[in-house]
Amino acid sequence: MNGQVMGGQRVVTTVELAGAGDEVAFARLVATYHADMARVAFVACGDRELAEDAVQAAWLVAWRKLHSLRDPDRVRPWLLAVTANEARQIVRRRRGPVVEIDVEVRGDPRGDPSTGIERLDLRRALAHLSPDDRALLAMHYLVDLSSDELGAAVGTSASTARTRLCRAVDRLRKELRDG
Amino acid sequence: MAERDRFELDLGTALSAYAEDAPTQVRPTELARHFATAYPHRRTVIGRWRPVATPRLAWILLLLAVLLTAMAGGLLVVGSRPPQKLPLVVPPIGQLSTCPAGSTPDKPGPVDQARPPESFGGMRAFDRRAGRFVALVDILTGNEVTGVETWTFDVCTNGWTRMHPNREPSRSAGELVYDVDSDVTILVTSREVWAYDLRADTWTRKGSLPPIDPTSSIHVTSWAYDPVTGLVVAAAAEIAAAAEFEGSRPPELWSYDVATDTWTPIRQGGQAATGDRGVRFVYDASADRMVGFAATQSEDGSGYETWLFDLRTGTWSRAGADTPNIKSLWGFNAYPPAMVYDEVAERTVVFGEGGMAAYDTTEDRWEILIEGNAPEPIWSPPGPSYGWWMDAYDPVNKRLVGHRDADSIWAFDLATGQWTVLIEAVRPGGTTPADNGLGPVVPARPGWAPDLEAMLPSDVNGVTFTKTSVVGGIPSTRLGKGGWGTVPLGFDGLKPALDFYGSTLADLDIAIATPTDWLAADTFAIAFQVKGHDPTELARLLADLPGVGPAVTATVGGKQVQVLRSTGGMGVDLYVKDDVLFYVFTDGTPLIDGIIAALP
Repeated sequence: MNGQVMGGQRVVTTVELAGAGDEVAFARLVATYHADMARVAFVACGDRELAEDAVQAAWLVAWRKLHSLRDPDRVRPWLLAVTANEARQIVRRRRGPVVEIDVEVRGDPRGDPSTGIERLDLRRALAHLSPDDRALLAMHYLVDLSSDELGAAVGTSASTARTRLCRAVDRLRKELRDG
Repeated sequence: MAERDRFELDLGTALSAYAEDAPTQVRPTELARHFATAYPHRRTVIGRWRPVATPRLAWILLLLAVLLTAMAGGLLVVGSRPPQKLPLVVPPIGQLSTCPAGSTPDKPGPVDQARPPESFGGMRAFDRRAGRFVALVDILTGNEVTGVETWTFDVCTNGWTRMHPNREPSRSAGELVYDVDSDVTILVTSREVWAYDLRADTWTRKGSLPPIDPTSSIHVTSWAYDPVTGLVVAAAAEIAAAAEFEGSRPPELWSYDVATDTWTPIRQGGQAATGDRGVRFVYDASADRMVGFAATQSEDGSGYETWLFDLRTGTWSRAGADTPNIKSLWGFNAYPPAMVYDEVAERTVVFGEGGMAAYDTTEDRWEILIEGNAPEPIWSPPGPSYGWWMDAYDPVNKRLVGHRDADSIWAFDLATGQWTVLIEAVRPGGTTPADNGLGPVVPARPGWAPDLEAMLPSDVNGVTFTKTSVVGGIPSTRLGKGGWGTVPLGFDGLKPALDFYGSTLADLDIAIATPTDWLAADTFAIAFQVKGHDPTELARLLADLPGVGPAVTATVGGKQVQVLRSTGGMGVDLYVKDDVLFYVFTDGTPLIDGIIAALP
């Protein structure tokens, strides 16, 4: 699933209804955005079970706080930010700044051969980043948040978010290409 | 942002492949239902409370007498450890009715009886004197709860009765408990406390509310009757998302005296249960303890702990036995599952999506009664789940009672593990506990529960869409039969079909199914078998629409169905026009408008 389709007045109405406690509207948001949130949580946590917990927690926050969202048009980056935040909290509660990534590698461990980046290498390289940086990468490269949205999601300016993203990418570049 | 270089493009591709393992599956409507039930939105300021309760003199005198006797005999066990059985200390849970001579509680009630509306959410509390469950059912007008209806279920006749009290609470969300001492059923929500007198058929709104901060993340999570004091006990726990959670804290415990409408805090000492994802309690009369099932989250992941609370001394103790991982009804392993007290076996029974287990307080021992076989949480295809079937304990017939939808009522014998149908569904074709791998069923009549696929295609029901309601925010004029529990909610990984929760093919003059094995990742399908239409012709028409892939003929349950793949993005829409129901995974609006326009 990917949640890139609801927009305009429809999303505003849906968010407003969901914020007021409308189950159906909330279910629609879940159906639309859950997959993106799960991907961001998975990359940030590096663990499927933790990612599930993070997304569960994020939806609970959404259920309770959606009414306070001032700009319903921005519900997607807001949900992703909540997810990233929950993922960070959950990883932190597992002790240590970096969670050990123990995801079973399914399918071809080499990943997509056309990229030249093997999945195992990517996993190891991601493990050296903080959950925040992993979430940042996911929000940019997986779900295509803009710089402004990234900044809002991580609570910084767009330029700061770009800088952090560049640093994270450079680190991965070094590990994956040069390392 | 600058154009991506080669490495970034590769990184994006590699991340996408890596994230294929992300837990993306979810059942949106159930998740929303869960939150709406567990965390109803608060809208009003909480009222004042009076901190002093009036003790019940009779029980105090009884307790004093018993305590003095016990002390004299050197029998008193002090502290928080669960005592060996002290039957004299613990009065009976309360007066209990018996079925009149000639009753046949194992025989299904009349099929043609009036039943609660489809929004029925389950048995809620058992009036021991009347021998009836009390249920509050929301009345929905579109999405809005416009009122509630009060229903009772007689466990001796297996009959529903629609009550007609003078007034009713504004909505059913909240906790219900029967107060034996006062002979009323109490409803507590975040903004209302009501008492229902079944004999007088009257609801009385009480003036006070649980003394918890309405702006906090604290909610009343459990509500039980304490036969010693004759008061009900409420547990309010902080249920916080990780971002909000500031460390474990014990639940707040209060007793409520409905006669004087007063709340009194219960003193707690020692290390307390700290279920940071909620604590649920049940009163265990065999040990005079509250047994708490606390959902916790730690470095090692989510889990549960068993705690005992001694209401007399205000002390907590953690059970020594390992607590089984019985996931909650909703599949979360981060919220407590349902609990009842089995008065025959004198054990606390916990059931949820992860199976069923019983805890013997006096022996500090958990026993797995039924292994859960739905290990994945809510995001997974639905599987067998006891939580979906059982609601509450019937102390008259000593069994669990539950429902699958507003239609059928079932009983589960904890001793034999056997199901009995108490009210048959009006509509044939509904699934039964046996269909879901939940154990043997005593059939009310042969062939009551035909297999779903065997009904494809069905031309026997003759039912047309007549009800209007809103699903997915779609205007009711464009919908046929809808509402919670009557719409297909998701793919079933166990069999090649969509799941119809609580519905039967008799509800629908369309059957929807899809094989899942041939579906590519991120591709979703709609399939249909439409009564009165030629599915092949419909498929041809629909396949010509933008956003719809070519029609594929698939065999489902031995029947051929036409399956269309959506090539669009995600989104779930249900639309009905005439006798055609569309279940579409796509953005929806333009596509479905096109579909509707293209219908013959």
